[in-house]
Amino acid sequence: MTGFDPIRLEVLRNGLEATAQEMGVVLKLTSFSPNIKERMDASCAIFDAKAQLVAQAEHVPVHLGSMLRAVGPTLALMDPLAQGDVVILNDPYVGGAHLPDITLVAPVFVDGRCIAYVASRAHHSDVGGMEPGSMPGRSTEIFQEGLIIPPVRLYRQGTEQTDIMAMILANVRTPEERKGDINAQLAALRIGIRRIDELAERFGSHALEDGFATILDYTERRMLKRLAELPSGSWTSEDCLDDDGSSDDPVVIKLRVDVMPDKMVFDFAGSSSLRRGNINAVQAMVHSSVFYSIKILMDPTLPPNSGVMRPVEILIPKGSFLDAQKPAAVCAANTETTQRLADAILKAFSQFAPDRIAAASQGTMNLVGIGGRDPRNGMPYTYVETICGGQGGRPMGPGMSAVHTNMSNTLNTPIEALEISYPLRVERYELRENSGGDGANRGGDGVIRALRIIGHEARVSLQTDRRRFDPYGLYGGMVGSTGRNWIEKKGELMSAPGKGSMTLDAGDAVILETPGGGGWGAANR
Amino acid sequence: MSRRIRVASDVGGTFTDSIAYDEATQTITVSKVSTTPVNRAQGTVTGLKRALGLQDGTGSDVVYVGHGMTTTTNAVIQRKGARTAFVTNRGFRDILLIGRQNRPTLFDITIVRPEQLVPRDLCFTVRGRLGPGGTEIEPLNEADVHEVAAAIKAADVEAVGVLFLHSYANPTHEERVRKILEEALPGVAVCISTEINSEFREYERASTTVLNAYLRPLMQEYLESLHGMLVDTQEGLALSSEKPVMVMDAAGGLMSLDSARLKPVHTVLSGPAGGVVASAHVAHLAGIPDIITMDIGGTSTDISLIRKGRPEITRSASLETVPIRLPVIDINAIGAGGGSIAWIDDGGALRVGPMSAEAVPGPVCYGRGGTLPTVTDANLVLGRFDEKSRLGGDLGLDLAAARKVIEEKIADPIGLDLYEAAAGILRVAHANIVRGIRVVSIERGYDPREFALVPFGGAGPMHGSPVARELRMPHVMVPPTPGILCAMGQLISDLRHDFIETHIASYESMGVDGALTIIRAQVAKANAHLDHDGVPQEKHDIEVKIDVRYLGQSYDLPILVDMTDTHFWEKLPGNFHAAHAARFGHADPSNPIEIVGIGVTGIGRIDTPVLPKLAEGVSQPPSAALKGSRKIYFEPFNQLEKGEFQDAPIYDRAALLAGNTISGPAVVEEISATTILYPGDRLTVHVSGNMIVEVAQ
Repeated sequence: MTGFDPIRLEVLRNGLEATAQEMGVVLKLTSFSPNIKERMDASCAIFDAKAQLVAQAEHVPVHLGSMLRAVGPTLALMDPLAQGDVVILNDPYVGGAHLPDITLVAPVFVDGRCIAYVASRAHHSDVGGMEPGSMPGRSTEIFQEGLIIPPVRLYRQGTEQTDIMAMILANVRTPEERKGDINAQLAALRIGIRRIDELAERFGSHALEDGFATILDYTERRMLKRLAELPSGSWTSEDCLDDDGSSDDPVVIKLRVDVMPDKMVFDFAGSSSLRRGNINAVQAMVHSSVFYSIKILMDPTLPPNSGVMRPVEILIPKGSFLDAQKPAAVCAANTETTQRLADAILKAFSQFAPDRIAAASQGTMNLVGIGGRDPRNGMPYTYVETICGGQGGRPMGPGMSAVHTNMSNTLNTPIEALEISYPLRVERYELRENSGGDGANRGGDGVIRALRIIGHEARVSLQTDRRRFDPYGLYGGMVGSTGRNWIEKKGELMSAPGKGSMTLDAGDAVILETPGGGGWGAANR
Repeated sequence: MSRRIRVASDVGGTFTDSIAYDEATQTITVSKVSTTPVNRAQGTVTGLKRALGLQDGTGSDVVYVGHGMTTTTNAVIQRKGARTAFVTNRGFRDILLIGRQNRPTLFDITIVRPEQLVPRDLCFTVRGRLGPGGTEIEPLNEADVHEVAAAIKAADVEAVGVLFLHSYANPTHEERVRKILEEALPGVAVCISTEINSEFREYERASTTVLNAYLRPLMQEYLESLHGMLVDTQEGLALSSEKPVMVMDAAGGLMSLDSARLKPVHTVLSGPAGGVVASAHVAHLAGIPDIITMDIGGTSTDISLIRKGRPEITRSASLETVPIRLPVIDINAIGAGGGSIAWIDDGGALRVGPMSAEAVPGPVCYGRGGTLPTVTDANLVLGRFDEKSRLGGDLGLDLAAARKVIEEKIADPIGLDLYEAAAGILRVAHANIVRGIRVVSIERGYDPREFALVPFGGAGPMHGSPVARELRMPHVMVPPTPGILCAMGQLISDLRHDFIETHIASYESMGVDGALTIIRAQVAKANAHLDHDGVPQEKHDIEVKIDVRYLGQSYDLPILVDMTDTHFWEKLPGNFHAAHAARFGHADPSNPIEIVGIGVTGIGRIDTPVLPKLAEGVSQPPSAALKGSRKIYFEPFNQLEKGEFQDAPIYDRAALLAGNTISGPAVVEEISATTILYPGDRLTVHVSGNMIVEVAQ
């Protein structure tokens, strides 16, 4: 290993992370859709020539872990890439996410050799399928969820394959916006390639490749140090999703975590089998929740790269809903299944690391979608939002109220902005008092958000969970309150399902009470 | 005839910097004294007296006082403001607490939101509701307001912030509540959102309003004490009481004492503003319009971007997750400074910061009890500082201690020699700063290679050249008196009043007449405020910006419009498309555009002091400027090569003349800073007093 002393290691790591960050900035700046531009539902990463993830920018947790396996399976399906090639894909069964996440991958050639890959992934607000927004609440096979793009070359040696682009754009509801966002992803790749070129100039291309290996070894070393501090043993946990949106049967996650001085095994044997509804997860989603939970347990500053996962083995039973196979529906895995996976993993961790793990947080993203025709201008509109809830009580203090937790951290739409843009009125947006579980350190409270439909008929979709099974407390802390969904129809309040769609009339309202976090430790009386 | 001297002071956490400038002779004198934490006016007066004394001036010669401070910023960080209540619409009690619903960090569960400025039991609601556009959906329920007034009275609060949804479009409910509360709560500062900010987005507006209320009692007290000391004839400066005293705001403008008392929120985050304004000014004198400033302090480095002589202004700043929706100079702070600590992490990488030795105990070489190696220690070991310089106070620097600590804590554990280890500390610190500058400039749509780097602060000029080289920036400009640049900013800034209002309408439906009606009303307000400050009409400058976005987007861009151009409205769409393309890389002229808001800035021009020019010299510096030489270690640009010590001549900046050139390796020393030229760098002294370095590439 030539020349990679601790100084060069740190300088290079900084340079690569800055590059990934800069790619993210370029993507955010040049993108068209608010989902990428303002909520940064996207990520950018750098991989070595063996498709190991070396550096990425930290935006939304659910993306971070899923990028680990974005490039390897893609390359395996393709002829070797040439300089100037750019691959596009969204097939979850290859690149690992759900269809709205479109990924672009390009090789970086220096002195005629491919020394790295750069990739950008972004959540597009529509990729076709049965419902606008491509997150149908009741899909039962992936074909309903949108256009499937297997790995194909969007650019071949620098030349855009316009027929591929035309094919994609013909299958989505908002082609102009999609084209703009794909171009923003390309711009991100270009700046990444340029910066890696510059690094190769300062370090030499062979040394740079050594540097990638040094960074992964370094991360693995830090991971092993943390691992050695943990007690060895086996711990089990179980948690479940309320249902899959298609039947009322709970969806069970079973987990055994084996901790050894140099290895950690996550075995999901016993989890529910593949379901008809859309909560099925491809394996990369499971990796994503494991990766997130390890960062929480071990060290929030562990560099987000493949080195973290080297001492980690993940066993996912064939035929389970965590090993989704084509053509299973998967779109809700990102929003709901990853949350429950994190809950199950953290619950197992809490048994051997009580001082580092919080009680269960709200465990759902409370997705609300409302669509209709705006009576003010006759134009169709779609409003989509996720709603905060309670964080679990923490070993060091109470949980926060009204925050996005674990796998999500996106912003809300300001009430004034919402009422200006949509024919809706917010009537209440307040803490849901005492929804956090009691305990020595109380769980944070969820919120109540009430939205009234003004002057038109609207279609409302809900994709929420933790409506039946409450967020757990730890060490004698009480559970957090489950969430509740309501609709007010013609002045009458009635309960609404956790997942589903309904039609509301002018003057009707939808009200969500989001879950509180569980309590940590028995309350002092 | 009596003298006319302008003075300014910049009160930082550790030092109070002062400057005195004689209008007739253009003499500038400066001083640096310790900040007096209990009564900051004390240190201010001591520093001003000292700077005046250096040119035999007294308080009675002073015609103008500029003042910059961190008091309000610190009060927010330390939560030392007033006990404050919040009043809003029924159903929305938790606007402040919910915020934007995000958590401060993704992976660290030990970090939670900082304590709220207003505790939940002091958040009150009343019935009454406006819709978009300000139409009344439900009338204000005055009985509720009286009830809340009674509750607030019982709770013994000192200040109240009020926000109603959509008040930006119709302030009548807020104004009515202010009247009721003021009558019911004598002596309590009542602040409604529309007197601070008239833009939509309730959380940011509420936060800014509450912050203003929270700071008002404290600011009142501070300014009274300051002015009292300035005019006091015994202990104070004996300033004549009608002379103007101006306070620096965070947008780089000055506020009269009256404005500062009413709107203290404008001074939050104002600490670094003076340095940025002064940098822009001196760079302009050297004919350089585009610069990136790099103010390296003990614990952090403040980075800002100046384009065409104007500092970049942001309207979405925040202090520790408390948003401030006001124009603020866009300054990005990164955790790398002279006091940043170098350490080996448990994966074996050399890290620098974010922990800092701060002022106490400080770097090991200060000999005040520091035990961990810092960037300053590395600079000393590599010969960047003179061992005899007086950085840490009255004692010299302890080179042996710095060598020992770097050897023991860094060099030995990683198996490198002392100098490579010390140079490694700088390489890593520079990598941190480079990353900060690159992201700041790219995020704002600029390429750093098109800017000159302006390092200031005590440690800035020492790190300018290597940072510029990594960013491929061709030039570094070292301003005069880089160690006290912030105080100079207080002398140079103009008065400033901003009025920004949300007016959402399509371009067509607003029309030129609609726009003009709004603009004229705002301009009248701006002029009235400047009149109140005593600025004569001919010194009023009015700047108009229209916030524009594509229909359906939720982010807008402020477009500067030229009101002397009768076709300003017709040109607006084209200017917007161009600005959008520059910032975001694409534009779509076929897409309809929407007006989001209109902002008017009233600027009251002061007579900018004429800074002294240097005497002309030749290329060769005068022999008196050469003080000697010392060996300095330079790390090469290529990351894999080792560095070496080279002989570097030392120059005294005070003796340099305009036109002198110096080739690196070399050192230029002055009282408050040291400039290091790397091999291949070439420095030219500009007549404006700036030193311009062509960076070896």
